[in-house]
Amino acid sequence: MDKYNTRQTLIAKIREQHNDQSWEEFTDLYKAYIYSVLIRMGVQESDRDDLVQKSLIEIWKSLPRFEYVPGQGKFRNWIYTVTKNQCLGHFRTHKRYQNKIQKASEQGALETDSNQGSEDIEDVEWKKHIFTLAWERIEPELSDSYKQVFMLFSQGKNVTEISSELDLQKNSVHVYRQRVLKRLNREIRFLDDELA
Amino acid sequence: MIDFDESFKKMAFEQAFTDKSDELLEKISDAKHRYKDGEEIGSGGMKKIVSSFDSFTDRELARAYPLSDETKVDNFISEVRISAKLEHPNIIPLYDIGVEEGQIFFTMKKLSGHNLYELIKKSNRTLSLNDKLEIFLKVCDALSFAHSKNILHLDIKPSNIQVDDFGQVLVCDWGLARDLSDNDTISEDLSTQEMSPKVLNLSYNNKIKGTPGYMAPEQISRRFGSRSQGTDVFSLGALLYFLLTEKEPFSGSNVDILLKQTINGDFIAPIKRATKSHISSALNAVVMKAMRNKRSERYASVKKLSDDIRSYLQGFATSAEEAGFLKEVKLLIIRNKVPFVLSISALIITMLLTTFFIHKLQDEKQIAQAAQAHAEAMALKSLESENVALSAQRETEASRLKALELIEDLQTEKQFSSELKIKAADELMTKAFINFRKNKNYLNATATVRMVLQLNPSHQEALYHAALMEMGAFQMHNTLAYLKQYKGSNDVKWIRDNCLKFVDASGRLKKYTWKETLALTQELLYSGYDPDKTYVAWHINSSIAQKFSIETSIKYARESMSKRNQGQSFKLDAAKLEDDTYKVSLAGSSCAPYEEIRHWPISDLNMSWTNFRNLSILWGSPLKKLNISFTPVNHLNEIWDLNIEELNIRGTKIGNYEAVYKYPLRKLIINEFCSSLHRLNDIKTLKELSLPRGVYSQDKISKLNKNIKITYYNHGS
Repeated sequence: MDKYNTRQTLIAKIREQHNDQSWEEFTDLYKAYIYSVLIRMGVQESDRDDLVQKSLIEIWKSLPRFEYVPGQGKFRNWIYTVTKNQCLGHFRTHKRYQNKIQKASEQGALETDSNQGSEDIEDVEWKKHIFTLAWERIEPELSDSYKQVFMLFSQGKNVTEISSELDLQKNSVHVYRQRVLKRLNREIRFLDDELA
Repeated sequence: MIDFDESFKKMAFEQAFTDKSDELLEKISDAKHRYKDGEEIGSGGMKKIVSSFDSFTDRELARAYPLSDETKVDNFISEVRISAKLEHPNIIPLYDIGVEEGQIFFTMKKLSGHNLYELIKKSNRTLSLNDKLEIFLKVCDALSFAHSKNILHLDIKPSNIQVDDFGQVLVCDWGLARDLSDNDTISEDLSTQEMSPKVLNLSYNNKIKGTPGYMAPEQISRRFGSRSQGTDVFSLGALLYFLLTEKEPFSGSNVDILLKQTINGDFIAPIKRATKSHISSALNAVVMKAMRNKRSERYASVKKLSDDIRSYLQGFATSAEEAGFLKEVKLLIIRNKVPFVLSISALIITMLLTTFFIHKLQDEKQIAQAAQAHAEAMALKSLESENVALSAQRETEASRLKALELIEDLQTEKQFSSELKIKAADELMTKAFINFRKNKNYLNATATVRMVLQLNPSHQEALYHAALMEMGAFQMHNTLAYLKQYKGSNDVKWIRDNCLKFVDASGRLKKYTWKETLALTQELLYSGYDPDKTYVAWHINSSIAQKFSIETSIKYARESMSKRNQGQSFKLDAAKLEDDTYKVSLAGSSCAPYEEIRHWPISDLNMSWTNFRNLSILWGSPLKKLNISFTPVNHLNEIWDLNIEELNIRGTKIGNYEAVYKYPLRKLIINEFCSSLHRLNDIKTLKELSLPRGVYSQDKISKLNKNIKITYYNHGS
């Protein structure tokens, strides 16, 4: 429980150290998020790794200058801004910008360039990213039945269906699901607080 | 890694933030140590109490643990169960019960302030009688409530009553409490009782539950019956005893003696025990009744006990002045005509009368005390006045006791009959009217007799006296009206005959002269002695100044007073001063009572060498200079509130100087009985002082303010 009580967040620690070890930690935590943002921006698969790397470096370089106020600063907003700018620069320099716009309007993948749309990407992708991180972190603690129950639950199945499918008492299904949710929720809240 | 649905991920993330209560619950269930114990607050026979901090609710509270052995754990649990039933502002609130590391505990409000024992015995704060009774009433309320839930406290004592700094009163320690509706505790109760040793040989052991000195006889021995509400009534009586006297009711030096005293009802009445303050016999009677040995003789309920205290408080609060109380009673009677209410008003009357007598008694006590202080100098004379004071004290004591009996009678009276009214009327007649009449308080005497007639319109004695009072007030037509209803055996012919002289054929009052008035009073005074005739004559004389001008009144007074002068010669000098007040001298004329000068605007009065005694005739006068040297006046209590600037009390027996210190005096001639000469320095206006030679020590005289001019007169000349 102590980690909740320390006032210094993970991101603050990374920023303070700013060495090879913290670089690794940093990339682990944010790489997936940047990646998913790039996908939503419509960056082609061949260019993604390159762009992720560039964005990470850009963020890493300016990290010490980033004005971080605990509980107030939205670090993730900044990450998103940097990533988006990288993305727009990439589109311009590769002269595929016009193409991109055309393609996007045809597919409807990228609604518009309006703030409304981009904010949505930022938000939705962040939520999914944190969930995934959280799950990765708690998964090793969970037994198979817990994982199975939770997986079926995530697929929208109800307690009765899960109990017959896994041959478990309804009560157990309920308890397992609640326990996983509880643990997961705690982790999500923790990560969001630490990394955002 | 499970391949979660994209929308599920987002939803799950959002879910994590909507369920905050979950987080708090988690925190609470995770915390192993909710309470952090601090220092020990106290420890009794049953349990230990420590100060504790509740990290969940973030507050200080008190945590109680049972002392280890098992029977105590049972008691402990029973206390919790009982306390939990009692939610009342004057009962300590129980918060929670729990087990921690195998140890059972409960938590409750942490007490601030002091318990009653500390408050009275140890703190510097002195509680007024009113404060004490307020606290007591709150304890009574708490117990009334508990009794309504069939729960007895059984351990009421000063140290179990907590009074915090804001006056909140809490009844604590329900460790011995019994729930009468719970069969388990009753049977347990009985078994412990049976196991207890024969108390007569008084081998006390701890099977007797309670606090010796506050516990009732039935808590010691079964032969006094089983425990009941009356048991708490007894302890409340003992608590009231402690509050009033600031002493424990039983004075035994060890437990055996205390128990023996309790069984034998061997304690001194609070009224005889208190040294610091006077205890009214009404409150004394309450304590005595609550602490009766036989349960059946005590108050039947705590409510009855607190009702008695409440009526006492009510009476006390409204008896600040005489006129006020008469008015109050009058209003009550007019407002409510139901006999029940009449019985209450009669009760209040008697209560108020009681306090009135107490005031009177205190006056007399002061006189007696002053007389005592000068016993050496005035051995014979002071003894005489002391005897007077003492017999008066006995007299008032007796009438107070009678009043108390009446209260009791009225309380137990079950029939709401006219008998009550009649009884109240009789009581007013004998207790109030007679006194007012004797003191020549015509106004209150008249008001009282009218009240009596409202209670009982055919009260013969009252009709007769009402006729006399109206005649004295020169309301002859009223007198005649009362006489028509009067069928008693008193001679009324003289009343009727004299009144008829002053009314016309239609029964209206005719014009009359001062000579006719004088003729009437002379007739009343000198046609054979009759106390009633004399009384009417004094009454008429007393209001001369209200019927005629002062100049006429002077003529009347000269004629009237000279007739009864016993002095060497009669002389009445009266001169009008610039401010329309009068300078009057009756020096050397002994013709008491001096009713004729009542209500005169006298600012300067010389009554030296007269038999003047009744200062009440000076009530409300603009008196500035008063010479009462060589008169039988022996106290100034009745004219305490006049603004006298020059006073001569040489040759009097006045020993109580309290009034003297209060006057804005410029000039003062004192007698030989001033016990604290230095207090004359408090009279800032004092310029001239005359003392008897050789009575006061030079040492004392030298301590007087230097700006007071001191002269001497020869003592005994």
